[in-house]
Amino acid sequence: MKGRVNPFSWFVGSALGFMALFLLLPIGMLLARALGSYMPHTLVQVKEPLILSIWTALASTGLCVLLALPGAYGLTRFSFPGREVLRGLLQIPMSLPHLVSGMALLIFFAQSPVGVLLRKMGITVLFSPLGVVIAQFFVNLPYMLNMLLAGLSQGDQQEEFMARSLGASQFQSFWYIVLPNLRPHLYSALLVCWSRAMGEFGAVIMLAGIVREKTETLPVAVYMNMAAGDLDGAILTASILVLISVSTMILFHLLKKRGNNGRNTNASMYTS
Amino acid sequence: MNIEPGEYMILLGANGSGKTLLLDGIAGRYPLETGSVLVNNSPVQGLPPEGRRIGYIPQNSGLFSRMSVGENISFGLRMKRGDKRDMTLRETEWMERLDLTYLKERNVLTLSGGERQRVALARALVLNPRLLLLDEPLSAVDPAGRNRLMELLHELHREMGLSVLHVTHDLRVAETLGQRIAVLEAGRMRNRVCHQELSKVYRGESLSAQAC
Repeated sequence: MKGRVNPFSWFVGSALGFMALFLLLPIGMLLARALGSYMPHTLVQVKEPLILSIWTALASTGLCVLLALPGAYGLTRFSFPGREVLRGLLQIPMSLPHLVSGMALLIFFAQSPVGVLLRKMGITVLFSPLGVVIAQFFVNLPYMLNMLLAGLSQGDQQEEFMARSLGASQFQSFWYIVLPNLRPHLYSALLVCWSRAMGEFGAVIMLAGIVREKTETLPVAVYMNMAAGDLDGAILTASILVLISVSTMILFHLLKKRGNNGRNTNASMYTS
Repeated sequence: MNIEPGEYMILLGANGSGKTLLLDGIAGRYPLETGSVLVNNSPVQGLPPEGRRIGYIPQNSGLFSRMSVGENISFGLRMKRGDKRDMTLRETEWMERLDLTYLKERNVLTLSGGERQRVALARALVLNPRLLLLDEPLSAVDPAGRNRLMELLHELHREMGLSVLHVTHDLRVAETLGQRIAVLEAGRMRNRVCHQELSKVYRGESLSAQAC
């Protein structure tokens, strides 16, 4: 029966081919169109949204790691009543549409005593760059937590106990054993959350609104350009987002590869 | 269960009888629900593992996989943040004593079973522990390395007057190294077992009621 194609193989091959075309063709066309209609002045228009996106994404990712790292450590290493319930509850924001998350944040900062107190202190969250950071922080925190939880659950807890039996305090065991072992997961989590923050739209527009040159991140700029009929500007901005996402994905895979090889190298904790 | 100062005690028992759990409890990995652990007559069960000064070598040696041999051995000394010169001296002394100097920069994942156990021994002994717990330390070592490690354990015990609790399945190891042999059987400890009775343990037969 040489030469006869198995119908199942044919089906699998077709599905793969269709999937590749369906996912990659539109993105390829967008990039080709951006190259074709590139004008230097449109790039200048993108500069401010790009800078705002970069720094707000950096700030929100930093906040995410500040809370998610000790949080994930506590959820995997400490035993306390209600731990599993808390772990489940912290996943809820991940299942919400981002617009809904943004609306919840809007109501919280507009009407809750916390929001009122912040306003009295002169801290403006609504329709401000701080609102952008908080919106990105809120939607990405559960993702960061989940990625770190996965890393900490895989980690070798025997090494941590050995460190303790050799005189290390709990913090020293965290610093010298847990953190170096978690490093590949941590880098990947930082990268993914930063990239997601760069592209966050729903929660950002609900909390920070659409204010040109104030809360105009790259995705907001795409939306504003489209609404104003400036297709070339929208395409250029969107293609910058595509390039950022693709670069992040490549870096993510490189880090993952390095992390897998890390245990076979002469990695030094004191010199690195 | 009582281990005399300087005594080399062997603990035997069927798989799943709780030997490793017992060592983990003594070392402080898990909190005890009942009972107490006394080292040199002082209770340690309320102390965190770092406060017990008990050396522990698990079956797989428990080395830090991302560190070199030298970093593994000096780990405990570095955590104490003592005098740096003294640390280096002690680290060098133990590496020479266990013939590990030539492996100092090597990552521990590249070591043989015997080398790994020697590193684990050096790492525990450099801290001068009050009690050394060994969980089947010879099980992943080839026959030649096993004989060498047995000699080493015997020599170190004799020279340092260490108190040792050594879990093993190997009758030859038990008879060669053990000054006293205990058996954990169905959750109960038989503190002293005659050498003649050892073979019964491996045939799964119950031990006679009277002690040796």
